Amino acid sequence: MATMIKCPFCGGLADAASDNCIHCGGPLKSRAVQPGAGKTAAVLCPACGAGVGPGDIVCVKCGTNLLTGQKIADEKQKEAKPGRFAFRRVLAYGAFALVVLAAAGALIALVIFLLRDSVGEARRIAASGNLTEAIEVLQVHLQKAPKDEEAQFLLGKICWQGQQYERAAEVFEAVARQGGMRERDALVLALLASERASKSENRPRLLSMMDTAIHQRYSSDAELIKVFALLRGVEGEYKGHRDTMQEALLTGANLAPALPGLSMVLDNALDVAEPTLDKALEAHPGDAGTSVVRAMAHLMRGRETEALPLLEAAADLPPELAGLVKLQAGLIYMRQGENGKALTLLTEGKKLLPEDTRMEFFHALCLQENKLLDEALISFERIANGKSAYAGSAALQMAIIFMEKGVLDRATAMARQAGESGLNTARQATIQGRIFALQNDVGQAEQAYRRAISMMADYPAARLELGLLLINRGSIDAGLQELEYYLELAKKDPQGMRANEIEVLVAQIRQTRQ
Amino acid sequence: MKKRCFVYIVAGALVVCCAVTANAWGPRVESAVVNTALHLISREENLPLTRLQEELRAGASLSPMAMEELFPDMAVDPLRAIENEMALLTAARGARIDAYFAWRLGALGRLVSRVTAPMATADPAVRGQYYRDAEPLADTGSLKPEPRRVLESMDRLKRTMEEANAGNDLITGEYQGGAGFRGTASARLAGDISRSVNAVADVWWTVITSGTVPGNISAAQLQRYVLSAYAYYVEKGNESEIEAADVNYRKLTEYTPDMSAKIGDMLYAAGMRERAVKEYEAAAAAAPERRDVVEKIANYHAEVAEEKLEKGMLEESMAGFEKALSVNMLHPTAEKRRLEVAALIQKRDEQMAQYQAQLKQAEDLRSLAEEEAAKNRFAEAVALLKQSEEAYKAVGDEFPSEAQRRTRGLREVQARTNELQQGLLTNTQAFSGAGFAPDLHALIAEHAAGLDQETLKTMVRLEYEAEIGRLSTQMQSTLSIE
Repeated sequence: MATMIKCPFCGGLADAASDNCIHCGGPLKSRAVQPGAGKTAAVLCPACGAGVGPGDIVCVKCGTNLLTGQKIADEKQKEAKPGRFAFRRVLAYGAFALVVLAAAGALIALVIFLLRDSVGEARRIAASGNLTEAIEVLQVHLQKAPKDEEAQFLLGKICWQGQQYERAAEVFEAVARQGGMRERDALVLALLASERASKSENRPRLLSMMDTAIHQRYSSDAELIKVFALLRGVEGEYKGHRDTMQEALLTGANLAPALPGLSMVLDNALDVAEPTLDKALEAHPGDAGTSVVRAMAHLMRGRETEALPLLEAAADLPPELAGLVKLQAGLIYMRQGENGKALTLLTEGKKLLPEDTRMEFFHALCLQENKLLDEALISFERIANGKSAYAGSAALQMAIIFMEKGVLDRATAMARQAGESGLNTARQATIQGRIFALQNDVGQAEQAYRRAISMMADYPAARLELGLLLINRGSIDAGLQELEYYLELAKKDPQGMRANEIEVLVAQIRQTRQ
Repeated sequence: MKKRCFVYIVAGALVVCCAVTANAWGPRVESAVVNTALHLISREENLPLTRLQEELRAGASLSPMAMEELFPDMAVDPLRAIENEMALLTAARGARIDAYFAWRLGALGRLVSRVTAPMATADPAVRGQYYRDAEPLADTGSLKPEPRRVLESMDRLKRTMEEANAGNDLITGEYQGGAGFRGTASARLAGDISRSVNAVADVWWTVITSGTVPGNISAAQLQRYVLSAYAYYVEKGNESEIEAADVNYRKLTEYTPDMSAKIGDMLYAAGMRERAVKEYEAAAAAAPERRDVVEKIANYHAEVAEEKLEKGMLEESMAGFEKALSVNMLHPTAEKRRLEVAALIQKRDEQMAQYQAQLKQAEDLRSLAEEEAAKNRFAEAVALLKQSEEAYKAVGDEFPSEAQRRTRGLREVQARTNELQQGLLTNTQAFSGAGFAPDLHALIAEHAAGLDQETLKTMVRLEYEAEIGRLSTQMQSTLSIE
């Protein structure tokens, strides 16, 4: 095995038997110039005596190779020696040759440039992970060939891969518009990319494109029709949603059992929807989605009793939907006065929709109805301190709770806060009046009640409270008049509004006056 | 003193004029004779007749018609009448002298007194005047008692009659001579009365002490005696005496069905129906063919049933009619009345059930009212009490227990209503807040409006998102750059 030594000039490994370094050509054996032989020998060019650096190979002054001792300029000068003219001619030929060579090179480069595969290159570049460069390559390519469907499609894919969904959506949409071989995929991908980019404003345009494409070329594409139908539903085109859903059904699309009925209900065609949903439930007894839609149809007809078991039976729903269903069922129970059951449902609903203020409000309201006043206060306070549409109502409910607890100062503050939150209603005024009355401020209370009545003449609570206040104050006739007005209003819910008792009260007060 | 005497004289004259018969002692003398004989025989012979003196006197003071009825032969053959009566009384005497026996003794004594009176055969005009004159002097003079003699026959009595009439001519002469009663009549009066007294006492003594049962007394006579005794006792109306007599007389003679029926009739007429029915039943048992008796028993039960019905005792009435029918299936009204009573019972039971339901409802309403009152819901409580009051008022007076409950309930309800009405005016504030009841619904309606649509839209969106997710997965191969 040959012995390797380290080149004294470049530091590379070279065969010790060689005269020169295979890397830098430096002499490996005895030479005139010995690196490290003395500083002077390395500092001055041996040919022109100009100063050179310790590692320099060529003298920049005279062009002598400090390693070989050959002088390039000498060779040129030797050729130019025949004379000045010859030199110029040679120079001319050389220049010409150089020009020719340059032109040839440029031509070759041009040919290569013109003949190269930009799409493939871009694909390769993208595959190597350099998506930006790949996009640039494709962009350059597309400037020259804007109709290149393949390049566009690839560009779309690369944008997708680069998570540039908005741009991908544009590109795929452009591909789809061309109506080429890639139209269907591009259309789908444009939709997918648009959804990923959360660009809902693209939907109408995509809907229009899909409509055209389906009716012209993909009328039997069940998958495309299905997504088209759903998109129409999402966009609120319920008539089209219902029609397209029927088309999807006819083309054999794999639809959830609830969807046809759902589209009909949304289109407000309850007469058709109800038998459809009943059939769907018969065919798929445990289908939660169908149960929910059937329940909603019942609710739209005002049939809470029929809706409730369906809502309660609906299981395995997505959390968001399950939360809404629990809310709906809970509210029905609250309307029926079964606040215990409602609380269970609303507590579950709150877990499913933790960010939903409306859910939190109703949960708190239910806590209040269940006399869990402290728990309700905590929930209402969170809402009242926020900026939601429920802030005023929550503050007013807090006022009621504080009033019931006898903390009248806080009740006053919360009633005021409700007003400041924009809740200037007859109810708010009446509750303020009740608080004043409890604080024995009869004048303010009466004013508040009268303000409530001026806002809403048929607000029963204001009439009742004013009537009772007037009777307590001794204005029996005026008080009785208000109570009789109240009794008229209480005919809607005599039991809940204790109409019978108040009627007896009125009769007895009249009797005592006789 | 003179004035008082005058009054007595006038009164005595009036009594004599009214009562004295023309051919016998006047009533006072007769009464004196009988009384004296009674005391005489009681004292001398130690017979306990004084305890029966009332009955004895009553017998001695019978009206002429009653005497005639009791002694039909009295006018024609008074001695025979006396003899027959003595025989009958001797036969009916038994171990114990009862009130009727004493009464008959009284009557017999009077008859003897009459027979032994002087002047019986004298001129009727003088005789009448004599008796009238003797009447005021009944208690004057002293008695001349004689030892008691048992009259084996009527000869002795006949002799006594002759003795009594021995001075008739002399007295008649004096009367005709104008001396009147002052002469012989007056002198002989004590002896004449004593004679009658002794005769009466002897007759009684004979009847009471005679050990020989006369054979000429038929069963029919005894039965008539017994029936008369029942009539006597029934008229007196003393049930214990009837009971004692019943025991006594059943030893005396056998009661025929007819007797029992007659006794039953007497008792029934006197209002002693239960005892009467016993007699009827005894008669019917002995003579079932006596349809009249059977009908009387059935009528009794029907009559009692009617009385029970009048008193509202429907079950007892029903039982009475049933009993009447069990005795006489062909009773003309019992079955009809039984059915009517059955209908009344059913109606009453329904009415009672209704009243009890009303009472229960009233009490339930009161309880509810109290619950409402406990929650300070006075008006509702008063309304409930009013309803309770109405329910109580619907209960009638037909059933005492229910009526009592109603009265008590009404009183309590009305008192409680007044209390609550007072509480009502001072608690009007209890109704405060009632008007907010619809607000919960309004709140829900306000803040949950369109929740159904929202749910449906969410379903569509979720379906759409699921489809987008599925397509994304499906398009992964298409999106591959390689």
